[in-house]
Amino acid sequence: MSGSAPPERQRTSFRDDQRGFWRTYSMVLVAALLLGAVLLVAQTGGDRGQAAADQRIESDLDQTAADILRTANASGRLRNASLYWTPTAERWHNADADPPNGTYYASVRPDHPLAPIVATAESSTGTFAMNVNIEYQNDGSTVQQRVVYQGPPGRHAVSETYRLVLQDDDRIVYPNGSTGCTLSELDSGACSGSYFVEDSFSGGNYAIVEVEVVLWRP
Amino acid sequence: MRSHRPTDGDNRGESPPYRPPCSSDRVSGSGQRPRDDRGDVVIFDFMMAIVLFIVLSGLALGLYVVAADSSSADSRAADLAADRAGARLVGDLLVEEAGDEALAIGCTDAFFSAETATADAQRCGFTRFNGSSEEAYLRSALGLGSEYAVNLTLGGPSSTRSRLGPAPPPTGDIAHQTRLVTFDGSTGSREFYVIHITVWEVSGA
Repeated sequence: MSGSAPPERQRTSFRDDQRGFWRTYSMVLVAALLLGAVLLVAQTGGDRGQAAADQRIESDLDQTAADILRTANASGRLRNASLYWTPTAERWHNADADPPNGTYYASVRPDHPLAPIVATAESSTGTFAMNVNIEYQNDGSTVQQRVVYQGPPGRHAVSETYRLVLQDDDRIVYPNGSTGCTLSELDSGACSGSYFVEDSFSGGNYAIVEVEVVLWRP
Repeated sequence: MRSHRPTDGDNRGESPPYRPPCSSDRVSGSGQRPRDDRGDVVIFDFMMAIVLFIVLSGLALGLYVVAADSSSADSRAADLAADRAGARLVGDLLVEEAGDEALAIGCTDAFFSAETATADAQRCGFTRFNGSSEEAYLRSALGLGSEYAVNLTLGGPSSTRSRLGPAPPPTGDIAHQTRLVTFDGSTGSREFYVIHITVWEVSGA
């Protein structure tokens, strides 16, 4: 009894004390979760803002494409652009020399009927890339004739179309504003050369074509 | 020789022999040493912190999303108002007949003069708009609520032909729409114009 030491209380050595480990472990996990939550919120907010901005860009471009077609038709320039053709060379007037797949323009030339419309549109909305195509029916299938081709449509590309009825007495339009043979004369062989669309109607109508404008931000 | 049986007294003053733990050791409050459950307490604290953190994070995220939605909804509303105003101008107000693709010069000049008593304004039907003030006239014509202000500018690439409405604020949520137009029968270099429609929300309206 007396003189004998009491049983030594079992103590945890510093090496065995795991409280520091658990606290460090929990802090690391909490920090990781906090970082994850911050990144999630930032990503969510960024995505929402980006989606709204993308939608606005496409909406504005779509409106511009529709306005180009509407004002071009109202001013008669859409029809002139469809008739801006050299029958003997079977290509658009002054089209870029031997482009890879046809006889189209790499950009809208200053003498092209659509040039002032495109210039005015770009002055207000900023520069855009543009493809213009004319589609028509030939033996039951849709054929596309490129007018302007600036490459494959990029991000936010939009497309608008306008249907145009060509008449038998519509005349080829030249860069100086003069006119040439009628479409029916070209189709019947009364004039040399040919137009890219054949006569599809027996009456005064010649053919129905659909002019497509594709816009995107370069 | 008597054999010696060990008794409890024999171990008195010495450390107890090793004995594997048994279930009775887990009972506390009986004078014995409580078990070492600090690890369980730390884990419990950790779980509570995680739950609290997740709840608070969810709350913060929810508040952020609500605030962002509210802000973008205001912006979208102004965008829609600008789009609607542009469609109304080009498709109805400034043309002789609905559906015309070219603007009528008489109707356009009458509209931008904001005078409802002129012959052109009467012919184009602008007398139905409230002309008590320029802003009220514009809102009435474009079908905008009193919470919006609008500015219209009609011009070419380098010049302004007509202007109507107060100047837009330099900063803030401002919706902008442009419409490419042409006038009926116009030719030459001044053939195409752009209408700039700027709509913003009036504070305190």
